[in-house]
Amino acid sequence: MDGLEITDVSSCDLSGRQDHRVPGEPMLRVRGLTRIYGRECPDCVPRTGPEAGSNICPGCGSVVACAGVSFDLYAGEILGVVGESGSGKSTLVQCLYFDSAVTAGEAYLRNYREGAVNILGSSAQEQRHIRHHLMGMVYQKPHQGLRLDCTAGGNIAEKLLAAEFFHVGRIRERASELLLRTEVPLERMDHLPRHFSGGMQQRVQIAKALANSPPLVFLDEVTTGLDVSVQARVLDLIRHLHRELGLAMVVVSHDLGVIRLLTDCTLVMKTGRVVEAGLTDQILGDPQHPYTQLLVSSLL
Amino acid sequence: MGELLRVTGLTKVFKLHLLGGREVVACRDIEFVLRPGEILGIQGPSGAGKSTILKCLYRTCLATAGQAWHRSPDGSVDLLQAPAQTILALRRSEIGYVSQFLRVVPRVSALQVVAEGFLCKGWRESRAPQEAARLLEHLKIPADLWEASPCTFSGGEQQRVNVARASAGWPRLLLMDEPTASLDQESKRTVQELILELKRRGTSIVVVSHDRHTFNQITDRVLHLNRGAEVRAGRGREYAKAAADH
Amino acid sequence: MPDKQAVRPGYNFAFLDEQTKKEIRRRILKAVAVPGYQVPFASRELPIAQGWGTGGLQLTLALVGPGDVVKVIDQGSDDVVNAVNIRRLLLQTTGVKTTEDTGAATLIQTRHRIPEERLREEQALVFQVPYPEPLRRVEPSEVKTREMHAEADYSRLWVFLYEDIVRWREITIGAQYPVLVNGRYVMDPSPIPRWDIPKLHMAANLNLFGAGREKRIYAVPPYTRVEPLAFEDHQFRVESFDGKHCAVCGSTASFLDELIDDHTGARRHTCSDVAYCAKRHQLLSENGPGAGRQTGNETGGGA
Repeated sequence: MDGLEITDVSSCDLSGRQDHRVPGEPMLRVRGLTRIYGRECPDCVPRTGPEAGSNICPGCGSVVACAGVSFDLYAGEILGVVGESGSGKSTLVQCLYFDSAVTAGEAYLRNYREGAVNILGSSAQEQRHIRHHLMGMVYQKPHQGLRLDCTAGGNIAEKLLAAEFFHVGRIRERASELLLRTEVPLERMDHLPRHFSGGMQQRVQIAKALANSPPLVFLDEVTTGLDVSVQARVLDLIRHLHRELGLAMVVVSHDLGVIRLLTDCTLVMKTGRVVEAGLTDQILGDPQHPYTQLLVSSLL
Repeated sequence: MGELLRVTGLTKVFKLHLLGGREVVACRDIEFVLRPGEILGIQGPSGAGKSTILKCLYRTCLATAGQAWHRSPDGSVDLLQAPAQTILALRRSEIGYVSQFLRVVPRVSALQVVAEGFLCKGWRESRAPQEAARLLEHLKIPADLWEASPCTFSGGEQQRVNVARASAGWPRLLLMDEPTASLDQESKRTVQELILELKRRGTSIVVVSHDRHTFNQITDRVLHLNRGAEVRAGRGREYAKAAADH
Repeated sequence: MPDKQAVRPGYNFAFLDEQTKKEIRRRILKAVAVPGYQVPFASRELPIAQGWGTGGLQLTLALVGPGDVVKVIDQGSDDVVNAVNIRRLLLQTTGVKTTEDTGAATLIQTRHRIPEERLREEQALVFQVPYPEPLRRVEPSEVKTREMHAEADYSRLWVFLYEDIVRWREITIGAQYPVLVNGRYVMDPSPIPRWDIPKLHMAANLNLFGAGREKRIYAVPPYTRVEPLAFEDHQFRVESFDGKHCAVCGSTASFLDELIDDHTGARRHTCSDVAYCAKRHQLLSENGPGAGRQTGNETGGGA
């Protein structure tokens, strides 16, 4: 064949080859995660959900934000959680990041005590340790994840200091490295994020979330409210970081475009329940549940 | 080495909830075997379910019934039933798919799109772009376009990038949906050459096409579909001859 | 023995009633048991106003016994109004002996200084504390700061120090420098200068802290680790007097106050710890130069 001199496969370096079978154990195992706001009654879960068309319990008026959510997340994988406002997708990640207590359910993190401990039942101190060493979170609104009255560098330092990294020079080195990676000009390091643009605040937030190189990062509607071009830059950054660092991520978004771009697998949520789960391109290409079909058909 | 892929009873029924739950049968009871290094063509009129078969095998569609045993070096996997993680792993390492239309992130260059295919098959970061460049060169994509996003390319160029991406890293199984549609004669020949090169390197291929000429050139056997049902199978050239005789 | 004549009639010994003293002692025991932890207590009304050392005074009143020798200092001086008033109150309600000699005292109440003379195991030092919460500068909510202490979550205080360094190239906190006690609780050492911080570390004496308005008691028991918060590359440093010495006693190893003469405008330095200075001065005049040779024993902070 003319013009096609392609190195023989046998001579290519496959040392970096991953085991392409199912990775042994999931990095995060979630079972039956439930969060109910309100008094709770035995009817709360059975009388709410997609069939009932509501997440408000007719018996006691409690709000079932999410119920019975289970999934496995493998190392290096990106899981999407999609659904309309109020479907419980943000509650799900907030529970997993310990921002919100759970009503019921378990979660196991492979990197924490060999995955033998239900981290949702751990003490506040242990949860803080897990948050600071093994997890990162990027919230929809920068002020949720950043201290706007601390400098950009100080924000990153907070995460490092929480993990007992007490060396100003090295903190600044690491912060520069992260800001460089997230495309924030270094001269803004000692400025207050209060004066940054929305896109730059979001990138600082990402830098902060990555400060301790956590194996697991949650992203909650990170591009919502940004201009399209800024959105694209943030999404490219996330894709790039994922490729480079091999992070596992949970990406919450109501935007199917974001889900398609970033994720391998997807959970579709409605009124607090997972109505469909599977490979993202299958969910988008061949949705099974009526709600998912509606969602996909609504895609612009 | 008997077979790489054995498909039995593959059936796909789409249930359209937005149309009151109407059911549409895309294909029914499809059966075939793919041998290692073989090129199998699937032919039939529009709406016969050709693309659906490929999508079910690649799992962008969920089959309603049937089995598709793929023999991978680590054991056999039923592509229709395997867990998502297994499918993701297989896609990364040994199964390629050329979709009818290229769908890529608008900000990624053609070279990167193709290099990605090499990278996820374990090629070194330093080597992948070179290999990607060779493929693009072979497919006659002008070098000054490589840094541009394929979104800006003509239909024919996009299609060739699509083929290059799926071929990157030489998958064991390649599913091709109309790889030569929207290509001019010369480009078609280039793609056909690449397909034959893939075959020489041990890739087994299932190809769906309207293009009878392509079939005559490259397929070893052909599966003919009519309205979702399998009609006949035979060697490509023989089939073409038989059809021409009608 | 107490001086019966000095005692005003009609008051219980040490002003407070016995139940109150017992209660405060219980709180002290808890504070000693959990070094650096702020123990809430029911701060009482006293015949001096809150903000004038009522926290320290309640500790002193709860601890003082007839055999004690008490010393009261304010910013190193026994003779300023706050110290004089507190000493007088103690005297009039207990009749115990008072002294200015640090070495002779068994119980010392202080505001904003630790005596230069190294304290011994049998002595107790009581601090008057205005703001007991070291995290207040980063978190206004008491509920949150308690949670932060409970979880040993001091990262925000650290960020404060980090930003201080970024802005000023060093930590600018002068007095009230936050310390980590026994490797667990971050504690406000009361507004003592940085000079005094090293004296708390592994001190032989008991250190008690009382905040009357804020109703908190905390303690550093004898021989407890007290480490100022510092970065590996920005070590904690005490004040430097650049080779200046005390104009009275010639000391170069004590914390110095700068005095400016109103008429001539001349500057001179004297020891902040007046009793220490007087003792050295007396030694010098009795025995000639060399008698007051400083052993380095007196201060924790090196000159």
